[in-house]
Amino acid sequence: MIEVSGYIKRYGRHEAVSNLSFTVQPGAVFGLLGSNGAGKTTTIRALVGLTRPTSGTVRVAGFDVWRDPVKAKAAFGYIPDRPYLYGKLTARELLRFVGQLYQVPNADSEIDRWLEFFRLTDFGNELIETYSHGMRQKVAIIAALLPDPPVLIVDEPMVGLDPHAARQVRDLFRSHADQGRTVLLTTHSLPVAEAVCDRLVVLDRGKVLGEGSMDDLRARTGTEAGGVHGDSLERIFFRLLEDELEQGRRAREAEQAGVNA
Amino acid sequence: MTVTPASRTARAAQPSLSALKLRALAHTIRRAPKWGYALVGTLALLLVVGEVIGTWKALTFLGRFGDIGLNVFARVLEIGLITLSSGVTFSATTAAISTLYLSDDLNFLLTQPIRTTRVFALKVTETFLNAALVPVFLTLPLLLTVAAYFHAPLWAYPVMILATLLVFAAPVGLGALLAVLLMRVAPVGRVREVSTGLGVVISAALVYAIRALRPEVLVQKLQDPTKVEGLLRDFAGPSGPLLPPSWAAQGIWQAAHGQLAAPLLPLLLLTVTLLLGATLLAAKAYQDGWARALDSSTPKLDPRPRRAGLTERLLTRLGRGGALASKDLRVTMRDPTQWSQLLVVVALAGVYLVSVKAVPIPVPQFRGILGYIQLAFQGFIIAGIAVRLAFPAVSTEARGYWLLRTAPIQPCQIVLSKFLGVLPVTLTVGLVMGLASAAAMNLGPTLFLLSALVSISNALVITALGVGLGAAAPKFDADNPAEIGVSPGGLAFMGLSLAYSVLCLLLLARPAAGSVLRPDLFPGYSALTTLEGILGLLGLLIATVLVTWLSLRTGWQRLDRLE
Repeated sequence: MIEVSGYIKRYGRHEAVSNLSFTVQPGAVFGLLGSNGAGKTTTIRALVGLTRPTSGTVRVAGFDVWRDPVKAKAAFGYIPDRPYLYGKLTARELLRFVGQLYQVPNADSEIDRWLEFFRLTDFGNELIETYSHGMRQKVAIIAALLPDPPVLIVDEPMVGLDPHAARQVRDLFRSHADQGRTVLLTTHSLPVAEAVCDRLVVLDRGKVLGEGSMDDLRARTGTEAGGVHGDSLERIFFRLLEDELEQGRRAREAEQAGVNA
Repeated sequence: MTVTPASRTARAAQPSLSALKLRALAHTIRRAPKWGYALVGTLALLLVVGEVIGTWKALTFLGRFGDIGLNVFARVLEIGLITLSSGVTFSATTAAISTLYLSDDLNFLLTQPIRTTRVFALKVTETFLNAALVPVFLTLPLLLTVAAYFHAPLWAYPVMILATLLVFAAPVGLGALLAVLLMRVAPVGRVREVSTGLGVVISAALVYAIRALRPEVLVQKLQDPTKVEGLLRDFAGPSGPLLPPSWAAQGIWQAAHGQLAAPLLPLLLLTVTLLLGATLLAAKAYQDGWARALDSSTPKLDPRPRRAGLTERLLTRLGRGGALASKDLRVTMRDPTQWSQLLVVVALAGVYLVSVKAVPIPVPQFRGILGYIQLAFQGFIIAGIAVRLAFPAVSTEARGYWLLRTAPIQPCQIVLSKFLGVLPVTLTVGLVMGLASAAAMNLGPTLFLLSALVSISNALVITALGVGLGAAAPKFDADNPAEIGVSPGGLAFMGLSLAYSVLCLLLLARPAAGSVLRPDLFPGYSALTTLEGILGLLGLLIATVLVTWLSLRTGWQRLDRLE
């Protein structure tokens, strides 16, 4: 459903993402993990048609996002990390507009259902400019889910959400995938990733540190159950980062030894 | 090894907010496209050269009438300064609301250990730069030419520059004060609407002031040589001795003649008082205003679903582009910064039409030629509309553009939807102006038809140019649409629109001239059936289709490449 192949993104001399490849199958929740500046958002922006890859291809539902953009975009819903929406529209008007763009059948009843789900019915006729950050984020989530897309692409989904809504959203992602659809999300919240994701890619400064299911990553890093953190994703994440730093240090030492010799 | 801590007595210098802003500006300039600056530089140079030559020639011409003639120039200068400073007062109020209350950096600056008055002094300076920089640059070459013409002493030059800054700083101070007061007294959540209403009142006053000058009476009197001298004498006296721009004009005029400019002193006092008052009041009132703005988030909740209205249902039948047009219409009508542009435009068109109707031209041939040439001015008015409505059409998506960019809608659908959304306005205004002015000037059938055709062509091409160039270089972070037009792309658009209006006139000049100068040889529409007429019409058709299509295509191609 999502195929990223040899994706590279450069800004001038700076390489934000280096040769990234992964595939996300239907029925899976896939997580892109990493610290700030790891390249998560850059990858997501290429997938949703906001940033053109320097090289490589990104495909959604079999369509190249940059060669066949309309078909690819009709196949995914996107939730950005910062939900900038038209402040002069009400939530209902904005969602109707989204329904018209994606040609959603029975949009009005679907909108009513989603507003009720997120407890926004009372605010549905109010201008979005009067909403709190969390309410806007909920509207952005509804906008992405309204067309019932086969692929859901999410950038930092829990920012600004109250605990109740955060749990609702986690459950939504899980049930979306369980219906045979695909969910790709970026987060630096390790508990969220651990709770929802079937497979993960850990990125650091544009490079892949590790990829696979939790079991794969455990096996690779040698982290085992038990202890304070047990075999948590946090432990795996920091082990991957330490390995990367260690490799870098060894490489520098080898280089230095070569120079001295 | 021991590390000695830095001496506690060595205190860091206070950070300069202006230096911070200048550094940010330098970074912006360094990263912006060089072609844009080259274009703006060329246009600015042409403007300055034209202004200097025009001013010199006007002074030389009026100088032939002696002191009376030169006093007329002084009076025109005074009227110009009054007009420009009225415009600055209007834009300063809205600019001050944006900079004093809505700036992104306010939350950061106000939480730093910096005096609040310093922060707001910076914000008042930013308001001055936003609202008055262009009028200052427009006025300075003219004034310096006046100084050079009268062989003014060296000290007069800085005095005249100071006078220019003061004459525009005073309305900025007034606008900033108004903005602060509006934030205090306007109904909660309606500050922008009230400030727009105030702007409309100021614009209406400006229209009234321009009409009060009655240029047609001037033309009538100038046709009678016996009345010229009397007219000049009447016209030479100061018009508004109590108005600050009049003080500036008098001060500038005296400085140019080598006399110390006493009227500048009250202007200096007034300006400093207004600017200081605005800064201090803004610093004091900010917290109250901010609390009131937060109060505005109390909505009247109504859970009953409101469904699509008739207009939305009709437009969405046209597909995704129609849905976008429906959304744009709704947003425009709700955003005072957008719909207020329409009022300014209608005021401009109204003044133009009334003035055209009032100008008496007794000779039919002269009337016909003037009637044809004024179509270029109409192009200028259409460009004035388009720079407010068409050029910002894509940019007004603002930071919400991601929603369109990630939706299944093609860039060409976006650009065409914007084009078709603005076209009814420009086409209606263009046709009404073209046909009404042709009827008012009693033009013949050929010129009447040509007026209609040129108006249609102007509307199509200028709207397409506006939407296309606006899509090619969108500005998604502007506070209001008026700001979007003041950019290299906006200035290029104005220049190209004017060039197209002139091209239209040139294409059809032969048949137009034939019908006006030799009505005996070319009665009715016969001038259009000659070879030149047919070629001219064909040329107009080709130019209209080609430039419209190329502009729109450039727009959607660049929009597609945008990251």
